[in-house]
Amino acid sequence: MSEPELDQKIETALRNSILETNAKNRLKNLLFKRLSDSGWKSKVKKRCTEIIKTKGVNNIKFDQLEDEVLAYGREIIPEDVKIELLQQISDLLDETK
Amino acid sequence: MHAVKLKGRQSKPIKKGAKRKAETPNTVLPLDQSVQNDFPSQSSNVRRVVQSTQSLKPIPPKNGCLHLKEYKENNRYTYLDNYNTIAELSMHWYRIGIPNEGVRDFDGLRRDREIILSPQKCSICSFKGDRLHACLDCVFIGCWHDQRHALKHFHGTTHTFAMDIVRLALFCFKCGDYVYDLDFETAKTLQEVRVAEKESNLKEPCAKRARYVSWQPNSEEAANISKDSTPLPCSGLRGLFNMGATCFMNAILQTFLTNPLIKNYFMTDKHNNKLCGTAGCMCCEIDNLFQEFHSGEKKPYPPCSFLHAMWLSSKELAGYAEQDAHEFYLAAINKMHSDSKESISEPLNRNGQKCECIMHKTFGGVFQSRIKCKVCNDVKTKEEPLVEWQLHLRGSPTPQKKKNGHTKASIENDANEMGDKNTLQLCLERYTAEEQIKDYKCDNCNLNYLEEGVPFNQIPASSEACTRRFSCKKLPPVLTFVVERFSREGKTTSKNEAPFEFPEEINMTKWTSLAQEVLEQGGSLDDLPDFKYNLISVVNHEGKINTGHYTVYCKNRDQWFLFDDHAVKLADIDDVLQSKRKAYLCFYIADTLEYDQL
Repeated sequence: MSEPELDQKIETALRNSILETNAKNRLKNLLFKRLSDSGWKSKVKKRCTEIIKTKGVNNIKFDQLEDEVLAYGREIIPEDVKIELLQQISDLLDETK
Repeated sequence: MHAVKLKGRQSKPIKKGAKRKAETPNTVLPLDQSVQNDFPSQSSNVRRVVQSTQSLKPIPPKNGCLHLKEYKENNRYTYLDNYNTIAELSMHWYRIGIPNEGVRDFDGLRRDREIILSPQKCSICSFKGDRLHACLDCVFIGCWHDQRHALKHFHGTTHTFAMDIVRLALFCFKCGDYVYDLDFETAKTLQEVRVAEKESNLKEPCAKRARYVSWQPNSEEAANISKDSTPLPCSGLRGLFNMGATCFMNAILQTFLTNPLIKNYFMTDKHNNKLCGTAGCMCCEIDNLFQEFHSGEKKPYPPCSFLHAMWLSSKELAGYAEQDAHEFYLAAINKMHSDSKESISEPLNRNGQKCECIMHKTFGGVFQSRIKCKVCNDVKTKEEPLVEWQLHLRGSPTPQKKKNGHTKASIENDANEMGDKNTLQLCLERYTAEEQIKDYKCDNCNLNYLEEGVPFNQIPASSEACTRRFSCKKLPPVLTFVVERFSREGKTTSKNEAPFEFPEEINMTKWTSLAQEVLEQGGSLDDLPDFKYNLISVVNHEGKINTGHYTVYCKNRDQWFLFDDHAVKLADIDDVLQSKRKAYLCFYIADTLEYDQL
């Protein structure tokens, strides 16, 4: 197998193993909860409606919207949420090693 | 002819001959596709089955996209059959949880000990995460991001349609977008209803619910309906004339009339003013108001008979003087409680027996104060039923001018501390924080002293301070927060106009008694369920303490309106959240309701 294919396989295997220990779900839950509490969710929702209103409902596709909002969402994540989640992720990776 | 009353929230669109106008006035809601797909529906928890603020989704078009239309015209209904099959299976894989064993998380993915992966995986790369799409033409499941195998499948085979197996959203590869089609959406709704039924049956096997059967009128029934009734444009919006400084009453009435729980109670005829017969019954007056508001009449309504009934019942609020909206709120609740047939005889039995009248069911919560004595470690809890939550503001009251023109120095400059804002969360934190109470005589300590022979009046108060904590034992379906803006110091009353920030949605878990107990035992709040609440009304007060004007922002079916006596205007959530200096009463409704709360 060539190098990039091997990398892909490793990546998928790693992903699956993380999923198997249920950790990803737990982390995702935590993230959703924190984001919702901090008001991030309402801001992103508002941004979505803004984009749709400015571009017109029929002129925008889901994937485009997703890309734009993703960029916006990533910017406005509050710092403490980032720090907490990164800490949890690094703990998790230490465990899986 | 008595106008047709729409029962409850489900209003079936009559297919033929319906002269009804669009349900949401003036605005066409954009299909919120993106939001729907990023945060899937919250029907994940088994116990909660009803969503109180279900947004009115626009009726999907008959043909989702041109490609769907083309295929339907050729009469190949295999797509719908495949969709149904996969939807049913998806429910089993992702939605139905066995109570006490599996817990569902935000994705809807079942999370119990063994089965924690998505039971399905990408047919090419075995990816087992989120956003897997199933092809509607053949047996193939493709992943979405990263490798984009779903897209590659389309390029390879030109199978046009796929569906997201968790969210059941239909994707058309030729359009490159998610499409919404009436047939598919009805199939999806049916599956979701079935799931909700199964879940509630598993959780509460004793409470028998009739199976949901979708009903469409046949041609004879449809003819009868259109012949004997006139569907009216039911917006439920109407201004209320100011009958002489009655803006306080108008504001509170508008909040009652747009409150979903109260609306359901009166619209399902639980209290009929024609059958009641009690003179001066306030419930009858409210029922009358609902009828007037849904009569289709657009001109503002003068609430004369209501005013009359109110004057007769509470003498303090009678007359043309300006009154306090909060006092009126309490008086209205009391009066409706005593007029209601379902209320229990004593007003709010303090033994925790629940009153079944509509007002207490909607607004009534139970608050708890826990006092811990540091000497004997005795914990004493006291519960109190309340229909509101009063919040103190930090910050100086607006300076009052003395007679000789000097401004009175502001008292308690707490607001000048760094970052001491008044937000709802902070106020709640302060309210539920542990406070020291001095000079408290703990009963247990008293008993100990008495046993030792010390006479009662010589028992010393505990020298170490005892601590007390407030919390909410039982959250009401509708939370009322009263911001204490009016304070009395000696002979002067002053208004505090400090800005009070409140969010559009709030999670109340932290401030419940359950959470406090968990924290005391060293547990984590993350294991507790969420108690989410959404803002539905804000009563604003402008002006001075003696004279001012009340206006109210209310959310009617997903659209915000500003009610200024007889004027009803469209408003935006931003306007509502900007009214920080004026906010006086805030109403929040629970996001999901349990059956015994309705």
